[in-house]
Amino acid sequence: MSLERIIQDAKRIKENPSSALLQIGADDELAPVADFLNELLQENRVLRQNNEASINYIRQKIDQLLLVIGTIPLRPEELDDATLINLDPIGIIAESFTQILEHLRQTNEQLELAMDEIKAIFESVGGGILVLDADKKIVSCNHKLQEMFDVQGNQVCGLSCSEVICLGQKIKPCPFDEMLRTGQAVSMSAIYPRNMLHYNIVSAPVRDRDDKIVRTVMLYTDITELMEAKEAVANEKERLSLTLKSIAEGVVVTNSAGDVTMMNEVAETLTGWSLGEAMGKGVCQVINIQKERKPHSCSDTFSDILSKCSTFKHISQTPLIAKDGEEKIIALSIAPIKSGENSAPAGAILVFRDITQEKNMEMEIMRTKKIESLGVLAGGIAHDFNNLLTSIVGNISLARIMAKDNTKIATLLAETENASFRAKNLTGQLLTFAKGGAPVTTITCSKKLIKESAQFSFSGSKIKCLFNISDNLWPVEVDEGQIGQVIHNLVINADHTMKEGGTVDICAENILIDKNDARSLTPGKYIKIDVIDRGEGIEKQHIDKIFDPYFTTKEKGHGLGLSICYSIIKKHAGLVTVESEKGVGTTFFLYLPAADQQLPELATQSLHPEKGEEIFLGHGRILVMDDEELIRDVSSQTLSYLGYSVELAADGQEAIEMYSLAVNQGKPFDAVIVDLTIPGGMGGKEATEHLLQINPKAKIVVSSGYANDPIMANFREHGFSGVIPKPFSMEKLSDILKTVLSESDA
Amino acid sequence: MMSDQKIPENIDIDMRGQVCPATLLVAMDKLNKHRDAIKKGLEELCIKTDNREAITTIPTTARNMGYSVNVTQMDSFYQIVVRNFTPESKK
Repeated sequence: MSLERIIQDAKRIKENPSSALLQIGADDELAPVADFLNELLQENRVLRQNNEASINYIRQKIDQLLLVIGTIPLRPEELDDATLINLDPIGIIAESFTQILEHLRQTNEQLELAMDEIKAIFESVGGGILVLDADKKIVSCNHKLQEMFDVQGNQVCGLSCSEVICLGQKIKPCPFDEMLRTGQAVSMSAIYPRNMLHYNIVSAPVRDRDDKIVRTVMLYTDITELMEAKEAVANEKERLSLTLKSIAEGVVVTNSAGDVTMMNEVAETLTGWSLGEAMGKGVCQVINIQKERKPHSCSDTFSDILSKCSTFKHISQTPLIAKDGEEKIIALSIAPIKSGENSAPAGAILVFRDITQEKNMEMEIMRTKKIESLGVLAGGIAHDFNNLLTSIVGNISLARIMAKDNTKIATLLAETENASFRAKNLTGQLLTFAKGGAPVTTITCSKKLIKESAQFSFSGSKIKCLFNISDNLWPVEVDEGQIGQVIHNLVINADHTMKEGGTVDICAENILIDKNDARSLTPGKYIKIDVIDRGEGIEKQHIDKIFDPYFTTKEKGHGLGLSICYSIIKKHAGLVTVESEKGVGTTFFLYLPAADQQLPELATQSLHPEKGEEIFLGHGRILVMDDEELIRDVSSQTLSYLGYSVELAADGQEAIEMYSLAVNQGKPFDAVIVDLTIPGGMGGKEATEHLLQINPKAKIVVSSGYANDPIMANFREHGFSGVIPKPFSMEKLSDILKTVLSESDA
Repeated sequence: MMSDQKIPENIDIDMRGQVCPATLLVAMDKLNKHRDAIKKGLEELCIKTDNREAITTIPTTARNMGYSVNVTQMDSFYQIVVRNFTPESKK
């Protein structure tokens, strides 16, 4: 066999391992070569088998690792052996495991840290923590909980929480049961009977991977102090509310936006807003103090108060318009609510008081003062004027009698005398202002007084009066003349304003005034008289002034009528007010205190006695004391004409001396006429006391220009036998002397 | 915070048409080789695959290795993005 042939066979056998080895004769010269090749072929077969086993082993291991990683094994067709070896999956997986282990190590470190953190939180948290298993058995608890419930941590583990915490007195609902029922964390508060402390309990579930609750963390916080503080705050709030309720002022509190957050009952009454309605509303809507022409605009005031540099503000008087439109006068204080000197206000507090009554009183006092000051002047003028009139009237009386043969002159003098008496009436009116002009009061039947005075006033006019007077109208203790004058003035006013005539309603009723009444009257029983006309009415701007002296809208008025009414009613402790609407009419309201006493039987005498017209001549010695020379002269002449012999004294001292001398000389005076007021000298009152000492039966007549002096009204109490107001006519003088002297004769 | 950091570079591997575990092995190989850059947030591994098994095995393995994984279904394949783990990426 040739060498080429052997090499070809050997190559074929290597490619096909199952083929038989080289077959060659032992004696062939190439037999050693063939043996060598056969050895190599055998070795090659073993190596190939080993390689295959190794590859299979590697694939097996790779698959094993892939399973660990969590995936499926490698399919042999996916990667051939060479690619497999080249890819090096074991290397890749090993490298990846390094990363996985590294990550695990880091995770463990973090877990350990987290555990430490939880442990620290567990012990450092302010509340007691209890960890329970699903059967309410204690797994762990922190020190705070052990302190709170006085238990030892290591002894309670494994015990039921009801044995350790509730001690058999289970609170309802149980926070653990509530958490189980709702499936989520619950928070509640309860007082534990074991120590009577108030706890807030949070019960939170811990779930496993299957969402099953395996643990419960219970957090106990002692809120006893907090609850006590809350109760104290609530009590304080209640006390504040009671305080606000019991003070007499209206109080409104706002937030920083100026919206009402609180108001007391007085504020509700004054504003007409209930707290419910006012809550959250702008304060200016509730406290409506905005008014035209007034300087206090609510919003201006408020924007100032709620600014940072605001301070306390006081408005002494401003109108408040209530929800129903009623207007009141209030005094208002506004203060910002600040926590510190420089802090912005958190709101404002408004305190206000109804001063309507006070203001009405003030107005009354002002009016009274005006009239009082007029009174001082009027009193003096009236007195002097009456003295002058006494001289004028006396002289005219004398002249009239002397000229009785000359009818023309006598008529002129009679008219002059009448005019003088009308002048006397005017001074009489002035005197009602005078301070000394106290009313001379008697218990009077008010119904009769009203009717008679009114009827007397409208007789002869175009108006008629309709009376609506309660039958049981209380009697009053008044100066009949003065009250008659008031009613007269009011009816005359009605007559003047109702130019076309018409009806004046006069109503009267009993009323009780209590202490809360806005009318400035002392509480008590009153009669109220309404005089209602249907005339022109009074302009709004005039209504506050109609009682002022000298204020008039009438062309011929002197502006005294209503101020006299006012003055008279004031002196009777009463009140006169007015309501009027232009074009509709006017109503005057008179209030007079009812008399405490019953009406005496004889209070029915006529209010307008006729004056004597006859001249009575007489005889006897008369002493006249007056500081006015004019009066002394005319008295002397008049008395002489009447048949008396007259002596004159200028003051009390002189009169006493003259009287005393006359008595000593055995020719005493039959009567003395004394002037009540002697400026700078002894007056009639004091002189009379002396004269009565000399002769207790002395007949003394008092005369004065102050016709309304109380002494004149109650002359007998001061020892006088008669009274004659200045000026007086000759008839009046003769009449009084006749009366006094006839008493003396008796 | 993000503005201070560089936008990570993408390492794209398109494994469409290939199945697990070869896909997984390739992904793991890339995560091993780019470990430092990905952990520092400088690179992100972006794998395109249409093998459903791979969208379970790759994220599980990557998470075990401490990475954060996002799987998004696209029109005809899944995109798996593996990046550095941060507390935010856990959300």
